[in-house]
Amino acid sequence: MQTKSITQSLLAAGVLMLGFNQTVAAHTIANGILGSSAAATDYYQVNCTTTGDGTQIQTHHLFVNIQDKSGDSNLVGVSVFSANAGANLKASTTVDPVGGTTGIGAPTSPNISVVGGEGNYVLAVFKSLASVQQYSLTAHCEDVNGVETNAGGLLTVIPGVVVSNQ
Amino acid sequence: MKTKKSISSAIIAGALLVGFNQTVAAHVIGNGILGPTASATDYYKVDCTTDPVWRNSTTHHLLVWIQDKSPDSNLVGLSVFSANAGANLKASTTFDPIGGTTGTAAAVSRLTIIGGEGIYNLAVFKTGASIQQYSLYAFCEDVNGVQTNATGLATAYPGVVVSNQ
Repeated sequence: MQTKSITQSLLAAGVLMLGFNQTVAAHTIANGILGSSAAATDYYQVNCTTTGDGTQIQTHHLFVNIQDKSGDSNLVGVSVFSANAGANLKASTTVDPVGGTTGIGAPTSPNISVVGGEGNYVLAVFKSLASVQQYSLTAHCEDVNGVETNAGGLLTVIPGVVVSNQ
Repeated sequence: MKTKKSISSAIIAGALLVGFNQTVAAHVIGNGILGPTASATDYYKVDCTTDPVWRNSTTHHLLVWIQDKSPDSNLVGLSVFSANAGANLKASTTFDPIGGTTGTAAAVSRLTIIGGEGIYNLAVFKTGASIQQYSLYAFCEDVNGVQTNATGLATAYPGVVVSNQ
């Protein structure tokens, strides 16, 4: 009986963990790696669309930040571009000023929002020097109130198509 | 007579300078500026095509580099993307590690993106807040490193400024 309970608990926990991981994975590249070359750049494409669940929430902007997980002086940042954004507001960049996951500067880079509405956003993740860098990239399609639009297909589209991975 | 000759020389020199500047201007953003916001990013689009008349040389790659003209710790960098480049070679980044235009500061790393003919996207950014000045260099080149100078390049280069902050 106890064995059955343990088994059921493990199964339930597994389901919960699976669900949790799917949700997080849908908006975060938690274990991104940039190779040793100084030029190494990862490139993503995210397609923000309207939710198809009946609520019809439209995407207003893409919210993005990045965490440099490597505790050294090699900085990691991300540039975001939307062709649909307003004049001279189509591109924006954020850099995590302090590497590492603990202590001062650990959280993330400053948040940026590119107001490009629905459609494609492209993201280039880069670093300032040679050496392998680990990063966590977060991207959310959000409506005008900052609520995730969770558009149809979002779970598979976000964190987006990896267009180039170095 | 001497005066006339001097004037003629000045005119010729001026014409040469104009020609030189036009050629350089076609491949360089010499006075780019990123605004004070830390997130300020300039975005360019360059279209490399074949000139059917002059060299008929097909573009093999885009050669780019950037010079951070502001001598401070705020670094200026450049990411380039070509959808036509090979798998996992579509995007690349270079930084000018030292700001300023003299001494060791002048040395920058050059990037070659092998995306053939077509559109290249360039994002210019910086690592912190404060205004930064930069020079951006970009050349469409054939497989031998010769500029393809495609038709329309002078107007397409230094490319369409898609976003300017």
